[in-house]
Amino acid sequence: MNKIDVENLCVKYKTPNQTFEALKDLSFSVKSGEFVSIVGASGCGKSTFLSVLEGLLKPTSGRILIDGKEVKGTGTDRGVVFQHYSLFHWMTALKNTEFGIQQAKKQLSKKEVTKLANHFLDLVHLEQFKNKFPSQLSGGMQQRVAIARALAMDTDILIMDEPFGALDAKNKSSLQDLVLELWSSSGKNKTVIFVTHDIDEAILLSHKIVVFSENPGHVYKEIKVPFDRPRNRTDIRKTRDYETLRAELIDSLYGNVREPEFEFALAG
Amino acid sequence: MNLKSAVFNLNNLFVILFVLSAFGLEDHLKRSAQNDYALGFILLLEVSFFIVLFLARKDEQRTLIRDTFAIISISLFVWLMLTAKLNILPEDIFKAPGVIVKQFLGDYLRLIVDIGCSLSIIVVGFALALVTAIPLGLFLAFNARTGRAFSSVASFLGSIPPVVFIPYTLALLPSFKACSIFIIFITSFWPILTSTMNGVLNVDSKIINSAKVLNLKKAQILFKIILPASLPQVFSGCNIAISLSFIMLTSAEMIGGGSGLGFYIQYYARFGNFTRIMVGLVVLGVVVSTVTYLLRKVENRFFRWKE
Repeated sequence: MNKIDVENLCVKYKTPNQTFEALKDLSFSVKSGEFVSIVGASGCGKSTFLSVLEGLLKPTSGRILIDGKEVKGTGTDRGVVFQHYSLFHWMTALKNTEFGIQQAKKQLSKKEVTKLANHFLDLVHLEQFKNKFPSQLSGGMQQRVAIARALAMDTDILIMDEPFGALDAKNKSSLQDLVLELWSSSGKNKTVIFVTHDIDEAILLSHKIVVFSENPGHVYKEIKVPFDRPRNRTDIRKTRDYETLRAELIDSLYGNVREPEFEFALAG
Repeated sequence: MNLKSAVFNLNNLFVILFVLSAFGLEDHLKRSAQNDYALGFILLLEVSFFIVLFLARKDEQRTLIRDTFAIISISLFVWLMLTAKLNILPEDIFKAPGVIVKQFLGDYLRLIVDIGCSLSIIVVGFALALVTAIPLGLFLAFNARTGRAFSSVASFLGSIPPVVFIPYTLALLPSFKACSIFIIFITSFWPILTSTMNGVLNVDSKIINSAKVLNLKKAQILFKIILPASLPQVFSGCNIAISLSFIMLTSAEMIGGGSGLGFYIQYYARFGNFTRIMVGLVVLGVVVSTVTYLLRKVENRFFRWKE
C-alpha cells in the first residue's frame, strides 16, 4: 500500500491582476518506508507542494492522501525539518527537542520526554551542546537539533525541506551520512520526503527521485536509484550507473529549460 | 586581576588630586566648602571603586569600571576647583561638593520618603500599563488585519503628549496620587502597546509555520511562540515607557504635587535654595539610572538566547 498518494494536485495563487498556477495536475505516489527526493529548479512548485503536504496550505483542487486519508491540516504523523527557523531561538537545544516530543507524544511524562530528548541529541552528536541556545550553535549544529527533534517525535513521515541548503560542503556531507545512518537504524520504516536542488545529494540518499518542472509545476519524471544500501558516497560515484543517472538528472533538470530559450533566440 | 592597573589609573590619580586640593588649597574667601564632607564622600567612592573592581570577573568589565570611576572623580575634582577653590561659578547657584553632601546627610530621611512616593506611583502606573497593554497588543496583532488597523490608531493616540490629559484627570480623579498614577499609566501604555503589536506583527512567518507543523493549537501558538518571540520588542517598549514615566512624574510633581522628588526640587526652588535643588537633581539622577540599570539586568537575564 502507498504511504502517500498525490492526486491531480492543483494550486493557484490569486494576485489582484492575475492568477498564478503554482501546481497543475501533480500526481505521484510514495511507498511506505521509501526515501524520495524531490528536485527541480526554483519556482517549480516544490515549496508549494510541501506546504500542502505539511497541511499549511489548502489545494485549489486535487488532494494528498496519507494512508488513504486526505490531508486536511497539520498533524503529528508528519515531522518537518526546514532550511531555516525550524528551532525556536528562545529555547535551548534540549528544550526545543522536548517541546517537539511533548507535542507528538502527549501521554509521556516529563521525565520520559527529557530522557528521549537527551537520547536523540546524543544520536546527532550534540552531547555537549544540549543547554546552548540556537544562536550559540553553528548552522550545521542547528540542523542537527532540528533532525533530532523530528526523529524523536517518531512520526511515520519525515519531511525535509532543503535541510542542508545553507551548509558548507563538509557539514553537508557529514549530515547526509548522519541522516542515512539514522534512517537505516530506525528500522527503515520511516517514509522520507526530501526536497533538494543538489543532484548528488538526491542520488546518495533516495530510492526514487521525482523531478518537478515549472510553469506550472508538474512531475516531469520519476527516476529510480538502483544502488544497494548501505551506500557509500565514494563507492557509488565510481560506478557507470552513477554517471548515467547524473546525466539523466541534469538533462531533465536543465534540458527542458534550455529549449524554449533556444527557440526564442532563433525567433528573435 | 591586575594589581598594577587597580592602583595606577586615572581614577586614583584624580581622587588623590581631589584630596590634596581639598586640604592643600585655601578655600575662596566667600565660600564655605565643607571639605571634610567632600573628603568623606570621595573616600566612600574610592572604597566602592575597589569593591566593584575586585568583584568584576572579566577584563573588559574592569576596564569599564576604571573608566567610569575616572570620569566621576575627574568631574568631582573639576567641580571642586570651579566652586570652592577658584570661585569661577557663581556662589549662590553652584555649591561645592561638600555642601551638597552635608545637605544630603541632613535630608536623607525625608528624601527616602520622597523617593518612595515617586517610585510607588511609577510602579503602580507602569504595572497597570504592563498588564493591560501586553495582552491587548497580543490579541490585537494576532490577527494581521486588526493589528495593522490598530497600529495606526495606537501611534496616533500615542503621539499625543500625556500632559494634555492632566485637565481631564484633575476633573475626574479624586486625588493627586490617583491623577499621577493615571498619567503614568497613559504614558507607559502607548509605547508598550505599540511595541508589543510591532513585535507580534514582525514575528517571522517561518517560525509560525514551524510551530504549526508541530500541530500547536492557536492559543499555544499565541502564548508559547508569538509571545516569547516578540518579547525583546516588548521590552524595548518598556524601557521607553520607564524613561518617559520619570519625565512625566517629575513634571507632574513640580506642577501640582505635595510629595515626591519633583516636589522637593520645586519647593526649594521657590526659596532659591540651590543646595537642596542640587541634592534633588543628583538623587533623581541616581534613582532613575538605578531603575534603568535594574531593568537592563532583567532584560539580559531574560534574553540570554539573543546573540
